[in-house]
Amino acid sequence: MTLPFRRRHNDAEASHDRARALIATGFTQAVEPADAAWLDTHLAGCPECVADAAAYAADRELLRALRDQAPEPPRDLWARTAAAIEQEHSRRDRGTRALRTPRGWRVGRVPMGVASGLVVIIVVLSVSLAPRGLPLNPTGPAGGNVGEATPGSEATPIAVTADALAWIQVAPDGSYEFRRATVDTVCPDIRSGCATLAARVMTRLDLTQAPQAVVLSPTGSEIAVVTSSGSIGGAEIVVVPVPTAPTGASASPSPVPPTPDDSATVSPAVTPPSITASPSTTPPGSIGPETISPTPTIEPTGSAAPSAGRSIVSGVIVVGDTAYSPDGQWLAFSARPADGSTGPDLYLWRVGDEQATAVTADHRTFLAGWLGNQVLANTVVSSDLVVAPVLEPAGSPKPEGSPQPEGSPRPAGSPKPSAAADPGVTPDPSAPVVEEHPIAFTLDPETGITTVIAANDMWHPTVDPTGRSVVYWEGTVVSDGTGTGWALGTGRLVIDGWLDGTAEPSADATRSPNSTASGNLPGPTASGDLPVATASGDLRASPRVGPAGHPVTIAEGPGVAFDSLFDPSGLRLAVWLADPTDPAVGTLRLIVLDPDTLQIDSTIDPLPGVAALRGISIEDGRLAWVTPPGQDGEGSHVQVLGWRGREFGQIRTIQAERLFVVR
Amino acid sequence: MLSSGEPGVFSITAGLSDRSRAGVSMNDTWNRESAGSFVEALFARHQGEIFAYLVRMLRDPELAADLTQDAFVKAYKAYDTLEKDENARAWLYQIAHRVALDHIRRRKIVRFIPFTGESPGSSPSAERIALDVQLSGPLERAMARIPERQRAALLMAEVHDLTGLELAAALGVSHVAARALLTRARESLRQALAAERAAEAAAEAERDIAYGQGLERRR
Repeated sequence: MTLPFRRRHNDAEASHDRARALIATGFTQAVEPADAAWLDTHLAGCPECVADAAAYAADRELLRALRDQAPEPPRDLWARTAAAIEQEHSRRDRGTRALRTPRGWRVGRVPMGVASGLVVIIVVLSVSLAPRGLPLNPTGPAGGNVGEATPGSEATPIAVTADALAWIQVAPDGSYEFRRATVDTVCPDIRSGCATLAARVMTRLDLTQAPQAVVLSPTGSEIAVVTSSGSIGGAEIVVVPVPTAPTGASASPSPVPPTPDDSATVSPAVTPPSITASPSTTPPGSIGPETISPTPTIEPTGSAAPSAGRSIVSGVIVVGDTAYSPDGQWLAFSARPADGSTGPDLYLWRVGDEQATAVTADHRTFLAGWLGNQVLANTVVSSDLVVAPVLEPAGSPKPEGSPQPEGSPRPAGSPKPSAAADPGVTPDPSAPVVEEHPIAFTLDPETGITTVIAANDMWHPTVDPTGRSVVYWEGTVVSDGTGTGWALGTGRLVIDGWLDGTAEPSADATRSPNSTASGNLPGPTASGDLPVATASGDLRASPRVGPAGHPVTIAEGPGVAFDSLFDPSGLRLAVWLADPTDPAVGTLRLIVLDPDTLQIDSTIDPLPGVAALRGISIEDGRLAWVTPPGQDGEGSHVQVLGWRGREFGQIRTIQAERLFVVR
Repeated sequence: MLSSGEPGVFSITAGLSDRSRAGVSMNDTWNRESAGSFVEALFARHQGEIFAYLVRMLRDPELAADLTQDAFVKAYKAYDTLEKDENARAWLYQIAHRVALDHIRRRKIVRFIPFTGESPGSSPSAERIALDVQLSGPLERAMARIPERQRAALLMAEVHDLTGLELAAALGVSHVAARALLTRARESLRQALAAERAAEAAAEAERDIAYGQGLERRR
């Protein structure tokens, strides 16, 4: 808003401004006689100013009427304040930082700023789709590993049947260890209850770049490591085979790992993909498959088999999540070239392929997750332009830094390439903030068919595995100014019922891409192995798939980022909200849904807003996250909330000395 | 030690001198008790208006309660910075004002909200509706649209009756600057209210048209 009385060159305008200023001043103090006389003269010839004077007076009366509507403070306000003062004094006495008085869900502004500078990496793996019931560590650790303590005698443990947990951490020698642990006991009081969680080193990874995210294949036989994108060459995604179960000295070794040179000869466990893999076009300077090399385990048990990594994409900045399809056949992610020439596109990698392939070309598409075996993604449009995602022509895999396709103009409102050129560019705070509108759509990786989801402003939807509930940001998004993506705009984080639309889409639910609203964007090329895609630009087109229309707010914005994950039952929801000052850390909460109504069970609050690093994992019976270093003067732990029915407890690993927060 | 029940009767200067407050660390037992008594008395007298000010600034009673608490804790911590007891009210407003502005600056965060157990699609409570009405009239929306410092100046001057000097102290600016801010605030409010009323009239006209079209279709 401009200042109403700035100095103007126009004399008449300046006079009006002076008149308004004098009128306003007159409400609270006497105006000098000379000024009053001038004002009277001016008002006599200025009906506009007279009207303004009347408006000021009327507005003032309206404002003063608020004095009759004084809101009453809550009755316990003094008790809360006194407690906070006592706590403040105790904190001073201790010379340590104290927690704030509990304040419902707004608590959670824990000191996290120190998190970014520390040196340990623990990546909680998303073992979400690991084979159910796989006893990763049925007999306890094989020995020689950290954290094998037995529960303390004073523990009041809760036996749980939880899915196994996996993570990566840095070993003392600087290598990365892939660890797994079985969670079978948790304790209501983490400090006086359970001993530390026993972990087993499954294999070692010789990463040259810190991980940013790691996901485990549903088969449990490989992990996809997204490396950090801080280097000039950008990030890559490396797929590394991992042992699926503890192996002793007599255990069979893992399948012979591929070497970088003959990776194409590895027989994939799946049918060859329909999307043609690109030739090996790793550019100079990029990090090739050799960045993760098999390292024979040095565990006393000899449990970890050698592993080899294969880079499926490099020279990119991976934006958002990376996720395997539930059937384990595909890996999806969104990424943009490391050179910042374009915004992000959706990539798919069929397990076993040599390279991942970009399947959109609008440079503004984000992976949200999977809806069954359909990719769930977002594209962003300006308010007056509703378009379907633009599909990349089949058979034209997009290696890193590939130029923008010919004839593909930058859609309105997309991140400016100039701003995107430097991944580390600082957003210009003076730049106007343009709120844009996300559209969610599904894409069938086998057929390429896309279907727009009938919901306005649905960003980053997560549908629970049972297909009954959805969590999403209902609102706008704004460019984050770096070209890497969007931050949350105006809106709210909601949970709603989900209509899974098992019926066939209506005739108008899918359209030829040529009939979309974007006449200036290229349609997909129906050639090669990628089937003709159909898409819809009409948000009203697909009434059977989408949110039920009764959203309940979980969190309010504006904000920067969030993550939400359901457990397999769809009745436990983990929500993580990024801290705006350091998006690597945030606040994590577990929400319990009533099994009958699927509504939030407000009577139970097992994890009210704890500090957690980005990267959480929820499975049957447990939620795992990494605590930021500096909490209570400690380093990071992998912290686990386990449950059996409505009983909840926690357990954690021992503190890691050198931790990098990765995700 | 602070009482845990209702705050005591206001008696700011009882047993305290200006000199006694100055330069004493918080870890001093005497000072702690004095500061506690002082803030307790301040709370008893001013909690209502500070809470109301923060509600009006932020349009969120629950948040305002949190920030009122914050303000009094800060007052406790900054107890020895108040030079004269007669300035206590303006000093308290200054603290509350800064707390509010700090919060607004930090607002770029998604916050979990309390779960009320409301079912999706269920009707809001009568209490909530009343509160919404109170906080969502044209005036409140217009006030929400003007810059925070202008909003604060208007509220303090017109609703909370701070004098010119108190206003300047609370805003942390000179008397002249406070007056100029207030003048700009009046103009901003005039424009914002006019815009709100115009938008409301347009929406009303749209509803009338839609209603008319509905009638036509039924015929």
